[in-house]
Amino acid sequence: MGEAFSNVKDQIGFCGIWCGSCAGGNGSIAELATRLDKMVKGYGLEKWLPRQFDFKEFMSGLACIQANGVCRGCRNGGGPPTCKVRICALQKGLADCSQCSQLLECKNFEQLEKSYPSIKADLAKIASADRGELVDKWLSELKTKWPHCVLFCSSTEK
Amino acid sequence: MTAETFLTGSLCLNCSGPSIVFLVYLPDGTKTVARARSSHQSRCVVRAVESVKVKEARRNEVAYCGCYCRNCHWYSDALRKPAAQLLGLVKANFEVAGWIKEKGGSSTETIKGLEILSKSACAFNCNGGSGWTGCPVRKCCTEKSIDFCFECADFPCDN
Repeated sequence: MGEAFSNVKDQIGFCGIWCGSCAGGNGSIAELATRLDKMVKGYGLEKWLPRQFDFKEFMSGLACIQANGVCRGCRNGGGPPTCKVRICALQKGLADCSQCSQLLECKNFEQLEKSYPSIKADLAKIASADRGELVDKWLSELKTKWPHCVLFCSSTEK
Repeated sequence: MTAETFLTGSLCLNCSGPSIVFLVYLPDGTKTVARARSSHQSRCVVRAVESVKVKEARRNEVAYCGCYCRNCHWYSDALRKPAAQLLGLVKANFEVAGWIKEKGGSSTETIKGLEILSKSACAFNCNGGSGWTGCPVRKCCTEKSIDFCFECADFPCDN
């Protein structure tokens, strides 16, 4: 378990999304980029690979993904800076959006609902639950989920 | 016409299993032995043909220099798979392209590279023409038309 994951592990966003389940924030994308990078370099594939793409740019792109700073998590100023949900919740001083009386008609969730239609219902479900227990439960599920499982196994296993 | 199946003492040439023949009694009272296409034998022939093919393919998977193709991550799925997986994640998480741009890289070139890597693999083995195009060992072996370096009088050489 890397630094990125331990940073976001205990945070649940105002919208109800667990920061630990974000592939970008929990470090799993960076971990995969590191493994691919090592493999390409270790095998000296520069000599072998097809020439249809710029190898140097490709490798620097991989390096950029790995070098991306560790996400601080939604509760500590990480995540997408323009997220309307977070800005609104912070302004209202809410612990999370489930406390808001306007949740059902809230338009700030539109973007999130496109990829996660049941987000509001799920948020209402977790509102009264114990956060520590939730994180423990999700963590055990996460270990078997792609791509997050790469955080819990060595490169030889996956 | 009646036929009686029995096992002869001889063994199948392909699989060393018992060979099945039919003893056929003809209407005039004489009998003759017929080797029928029993399921055992047709299976056996298929297996024998396959094993020849596999042997040929396996032989081709050893390069002139002695490297074994299946150990190479470009030949197996070991390179293609992680590239495809990373490509899927980069596409699904649009912020990743932003990370690359932020650090001064080219996200289009990176995605293009991942796309090519996720599709490309060593199409044939070394003997089939894939692998490092400039390899001096292969060049030398094809010129001398030998299968493996150890067959060469100059082995081991500087190549």
